[in-house]
Amino acid sequence: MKPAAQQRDYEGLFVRWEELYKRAHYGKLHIKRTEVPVVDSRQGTSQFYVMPQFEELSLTQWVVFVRDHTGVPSGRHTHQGGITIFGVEGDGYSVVNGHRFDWTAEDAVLLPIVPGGLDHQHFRARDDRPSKFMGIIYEPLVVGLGAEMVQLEPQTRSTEWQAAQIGKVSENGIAAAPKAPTLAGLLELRERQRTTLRPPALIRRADLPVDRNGFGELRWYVHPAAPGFAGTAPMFVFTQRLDAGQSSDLLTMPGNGYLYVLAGTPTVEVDDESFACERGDIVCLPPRRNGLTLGVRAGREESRGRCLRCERSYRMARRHERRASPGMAQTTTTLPRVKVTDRRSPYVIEDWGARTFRVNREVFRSTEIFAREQERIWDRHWLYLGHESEVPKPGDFKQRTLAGRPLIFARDSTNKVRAYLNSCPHRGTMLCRETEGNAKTFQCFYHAWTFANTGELVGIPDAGAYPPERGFAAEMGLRSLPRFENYRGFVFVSFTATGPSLSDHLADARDYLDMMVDHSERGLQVIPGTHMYAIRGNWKLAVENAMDGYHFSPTHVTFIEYLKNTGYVTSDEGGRAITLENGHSVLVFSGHGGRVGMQWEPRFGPEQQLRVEENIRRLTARVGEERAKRIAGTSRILYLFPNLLLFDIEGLALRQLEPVRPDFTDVRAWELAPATETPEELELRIRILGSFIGPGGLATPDDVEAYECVQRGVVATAGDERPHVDWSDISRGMAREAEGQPARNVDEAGIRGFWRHWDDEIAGART
Amino acid sequence: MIATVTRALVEDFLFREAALLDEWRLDEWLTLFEPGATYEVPTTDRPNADPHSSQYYVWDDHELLTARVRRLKSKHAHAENPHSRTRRLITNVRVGEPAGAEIPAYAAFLIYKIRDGNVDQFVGRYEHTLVAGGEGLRFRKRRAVLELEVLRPGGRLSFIL
Repeated sequence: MKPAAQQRDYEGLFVRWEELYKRAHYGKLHIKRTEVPVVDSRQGTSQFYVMPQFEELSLTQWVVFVRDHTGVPSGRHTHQGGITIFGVEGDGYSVVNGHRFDWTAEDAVLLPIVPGGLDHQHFRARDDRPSKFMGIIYEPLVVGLGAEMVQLEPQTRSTEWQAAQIGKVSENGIAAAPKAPTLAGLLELRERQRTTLRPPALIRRADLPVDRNGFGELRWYVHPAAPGFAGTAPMFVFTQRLDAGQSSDLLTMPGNGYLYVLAGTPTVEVDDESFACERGDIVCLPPRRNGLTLGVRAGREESRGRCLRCERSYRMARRHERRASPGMAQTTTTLPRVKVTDRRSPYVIEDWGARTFRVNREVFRSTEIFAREQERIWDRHWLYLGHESEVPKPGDFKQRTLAGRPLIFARDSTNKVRAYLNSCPHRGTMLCRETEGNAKTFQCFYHAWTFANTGELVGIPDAGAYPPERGFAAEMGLRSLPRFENYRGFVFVSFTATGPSLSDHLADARDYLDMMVDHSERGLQVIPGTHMYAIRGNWKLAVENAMDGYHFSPTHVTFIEYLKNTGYVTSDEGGRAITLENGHSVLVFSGHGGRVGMQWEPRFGPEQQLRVEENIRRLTARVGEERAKRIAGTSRILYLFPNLLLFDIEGLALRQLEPVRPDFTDVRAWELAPATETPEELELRIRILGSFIGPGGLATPDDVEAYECVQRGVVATAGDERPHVDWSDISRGMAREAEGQPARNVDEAGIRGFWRHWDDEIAGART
Repeated sequence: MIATVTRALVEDFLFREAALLDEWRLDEWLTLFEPGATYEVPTTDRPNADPHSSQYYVWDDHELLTARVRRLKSKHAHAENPHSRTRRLITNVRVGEPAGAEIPAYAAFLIYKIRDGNVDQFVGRYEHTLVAGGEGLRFRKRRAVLELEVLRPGGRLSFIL
């Protein structure tokens, strides 16, 4: 595109930046070794992977090539440093400003930035061995850069890094930064750097310590915190190694770099794309507006994934999603990359620069928003209706109101679970007037029309007055729901015929649901006895409360005290909040109590210990050791947008939210038990869960007080136009997450995930 | 040892219990339970379900009952701090046929719970099992069965029903 080069006016700048933006966001990412031509140039035989003038590529400021001087030495030339020579195969040596550096594969030679630049040339070491290196050039450094500002604080979280033995470089590089950023301090720092500036350094892989973390085994060649001249280069150069089948953590970072595969067949995930790579491939990691999310998964065969990574260094990663690390339970499926960006809608403000997340309190008060929720959420989404075990026998039925509409939830005579609108097709009369029961037919009392529980109209008194064709009766059967699906006993319905499948809607929340059902080889059953109660609060307050690990200690202090008296001390150590797709989220923790059948606690009594062992043995045989450990050893509170909370804690419970008015919500709560449980364990389960949950427990009433007090309190700030006053602050934990640390259950990440999705549905672009 | 348990005696017992509860004299109230006694409130949709295999609102053994009282006396039982004002109307008291030491006692209750500008009513029946001892009647089982279909609008049983 020539116009940019020729437009010398201000508009030309926009054109140029737009081109660069497009390249970074839409340009090519995956460069296969096999498609890069081998060419001869004045420097020798090379494969040029990345050059600024390769306009189809997403990287725009790099020169990356592999030079093969197995046959002949490379050319010799001089230019500015800031370059890393990284051995990729065989042995060689480089002569730089008269000094010789012998290297082997995965050693590096760093050519520093010095006045006048450096001259250098490369040779093979032995006739019978190949000799290839990769030249890594970040163009702005070479094109003309003198001294540069050095960060006065340490960089990102991989700072377990200790001073490495880089050849024979001394250790007093930039070890002590001045306390206050003054000019004098900066000059002192510069002087120290100048005097400790080494000649080109050889960094031997064998000398580097291994930095083990969620990204695998890293070896840092160039890092701003490294001593010696390397510390002046604003780059990261490191190798990353993963075991077979291992997935690295996900990191959302500014980008501007690339990954080069040294060994194995890793899959490299960049934002929403995924590339199956081979040795010698490059994946570009361009700088993207909201950062770029990278994950690496090693192949499953015996060769591990090993990559070279080069990036312009940066201050902070945007987000770090743990996948690989031991400790807290992790899902074995790939975590969805929930893109986190700033947002400014009438109701939700999210600003990562300021670490702010605010929700306008009108969302709890407004009848207009309530009506919009009805239309956009409750009438469209998959809603939890009930569990198939609530209607265990053919003919069983229950009345249930969902999204304000009266329904019949039933199991028909053919043993199929069903849902119908509880409204006679004739003139709309409420058809099923018993709250529950068992019947083969439903008869409307008004005109005695009779319907089979399979839905057909089977009896009309004096039917002769109606058109005799079969069509009439077929038209007038019970109205089923536009969508209906039963996932492992959990029945969901929708009042809209179109939309994503239940499976797509559940997305990665499904795994957490599975973990609950997998407690027993025969699944779960709802036990008799339903908690049905109302709260004087908006339904969204109940969602916030459940996804809020922060309130556990202060709100439930009397329950914690009670547990302590029984010999159990609670803890929030290691708890996590995981934002899932489609508005779902989950809290994962393990310090709030035991888990009946899965994890012992003093209250459970000594006989339980043996039962737990037996249960775990059977669970392990069913699902394997790793998954059994996760299912048994951690508790989960799962929220399925919009109306269901699942508690996989001391016991198993469901809580369904049914909005009535902005300030009033009906709640139904059921207890589940494994179908294979013994009577003794079932009784224990009931006692334990009952002490905590429900209107008569020692904990839920305080949550109800919380919902109701928020509902009363937000009236005070209605219409107040002073900044932030009528907004709730939900920013707890953002600073940690901005630094790449995982979200804790005691922070508010779980709540933020809900609000983002709600905002998309209500105020945002989704139709 | 009381020779016969009359309705008057049971009424006196229940009225006294109501007064203790309405006055939040919970430690004294707790002494009305024999060791090993239970307090139960079934759900509204399954009032006759077996608590060993069904969900209840309240199914306290004596230990949990004691923990419940300890909690209610704490300033940090937020659902009941500040306390609700309550007034229990106990009526229709009947005494059932004694079976050994156990004396069935029935009554209707209407409990007004007043807090935060709300007046919530809880109506139902009592199906207690009392025992007679040296200090008079005590609870072996204190059972409150709600007539409400759902706990609405007042969604808490944080007080003693």
